[in-house]
Amino acid sequence: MDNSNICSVEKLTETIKLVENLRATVYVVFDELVGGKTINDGIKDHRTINDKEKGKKMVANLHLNLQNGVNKALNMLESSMSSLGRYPLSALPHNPGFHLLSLETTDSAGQELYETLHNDYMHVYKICDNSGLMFKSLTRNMKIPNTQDIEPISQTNIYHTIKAPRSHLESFVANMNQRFGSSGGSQVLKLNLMKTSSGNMLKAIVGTVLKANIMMQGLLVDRVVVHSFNEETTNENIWPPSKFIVFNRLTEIANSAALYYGSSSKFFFWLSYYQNLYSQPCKSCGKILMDENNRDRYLPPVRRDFVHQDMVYHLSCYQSNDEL
Amino acid sequence: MSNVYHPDLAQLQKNVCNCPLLLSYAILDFCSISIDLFKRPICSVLHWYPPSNQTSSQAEEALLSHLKNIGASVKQSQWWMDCEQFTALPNLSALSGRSFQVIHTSENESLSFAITEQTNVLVSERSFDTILTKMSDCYQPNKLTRIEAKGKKFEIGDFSIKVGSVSLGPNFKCLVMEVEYKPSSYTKDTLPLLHEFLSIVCSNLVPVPENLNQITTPTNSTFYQLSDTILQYKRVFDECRRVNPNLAMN
Repeated sequence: MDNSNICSVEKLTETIKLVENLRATVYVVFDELVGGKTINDGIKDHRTINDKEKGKKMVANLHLNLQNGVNKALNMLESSMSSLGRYPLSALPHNPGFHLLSLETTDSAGQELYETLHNDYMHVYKICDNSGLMFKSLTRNMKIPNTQDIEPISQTNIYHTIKAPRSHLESFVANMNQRFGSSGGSQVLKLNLMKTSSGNMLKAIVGTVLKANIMMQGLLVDRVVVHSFNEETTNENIWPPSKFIVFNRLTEIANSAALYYGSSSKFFFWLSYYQNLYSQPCKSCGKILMDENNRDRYLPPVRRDFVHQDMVYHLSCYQSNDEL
Repeated sequence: MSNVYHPDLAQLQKNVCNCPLLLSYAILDFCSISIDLFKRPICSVLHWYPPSNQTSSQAEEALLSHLKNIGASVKQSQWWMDCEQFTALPNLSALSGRSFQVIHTSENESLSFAITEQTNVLVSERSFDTILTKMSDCYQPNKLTRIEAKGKKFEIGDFSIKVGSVSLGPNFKCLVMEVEYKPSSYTKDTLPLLHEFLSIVCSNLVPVPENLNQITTPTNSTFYQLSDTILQYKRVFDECRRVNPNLAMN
């Protein structure tokens, strides 16, 4: 350890002592305040001019304590901190608290405290991470007013609710059909609302490529099964998987898309990009059919990117692209 | 097969079986209307001749081993197809020169396909054949031009492949391969995918056509139909009848 380090450690211990000093002066201030209050409580029924004088005296004491004690200690601490300079960030493992504590590792009590505090920090980090995740998933399902982090509540966001009545779903379907119908030419996406024993179901038809049975929870997509345009499913049994490998893969992707997109309208917008499933080559390898000997052999590019929907990939090309 | 259009054959037989000429007109009338309403998986039929240094079975074997190499699995059942040509008897001047072909296939054993020269396909139930026997006074099958094709079936991913040899009577004519993409029956958009797969499957063993527009008729280019497959086979069989039988003998 070189001289500058030793110097900075000495300054640090000095600063810590000054912090303790500051705490002591603040303690005195609060102690007197609490004491003054109890005196006031005890004699509140017999207020005299004397009491008023006592009160004045107490306020004067408070001023004195604050100015001479606290302010002085604070000024000393500030000057000591400025001489300490900025502590190098690279030296801090996670939090400054760690490092300052580690200065006292010789003390066995300090060691114990260090470990307990370390565990506490880890726990807090974990809670922060988890609460972040929870916040993300909860904001998809709930409208939280006056929160800046979620997107502003627009016309489409009235659909973000899990307990919406069926009439909302009906207007949503009409809205979507109108939106996709007016884009000119043949209708890319067509939605039909049906009632099944387990709730409301949407039948989506994308071009002449696929049909999707979509179970809805309010206005949110709950579960999706994708079939070929030619496959027939009965209303009694809508969940059997497709006979074709390509649509079984697509079912997996559509379910993860439903989780990714909070709003149903975005999900259907994404689904409509499958109208060119058989004709659009993969952006990565340039071919329509995967020709390598892997899980996706002889499948068209079944992956549409969730952000850039016009970027189409084979599953394996998408994964290898991701690694790059 | 509830969608199959089939004429009320019993009634038809009762009314017209005593009048073969009327019956033959009835058949031709049916043939002139294309009644096939199915959406079928898109499918391409290719045919090729073995190279001069190979026999037909060697050429077929070369393709089969290539199919196994690219991951195709053989299915247990085999497939077959036969095609009979019916021509009008020369003594009937009203029907002079008229003919039609009747195709049966293992894939749709309950159906008969009758094709006129105008490439209209009549899809009917197999009992259609009993009408044909009643017509022997005006149309008769030409035994010399009966064509048969048979071979093995394969599966690979969502594709199914049939490979077989075509023979006219006892003579080998050519090899034939049918590639079907089962998930789609929408012609326009699936052609690029099918073409790419053909180039993988055919390698350099089978010539691949430049485009696949000919697999459907121009009038019906939205959805692929069963009749489109039958017409593709018919074109192969017609060529086999035209080709010099000595060209590619086994």
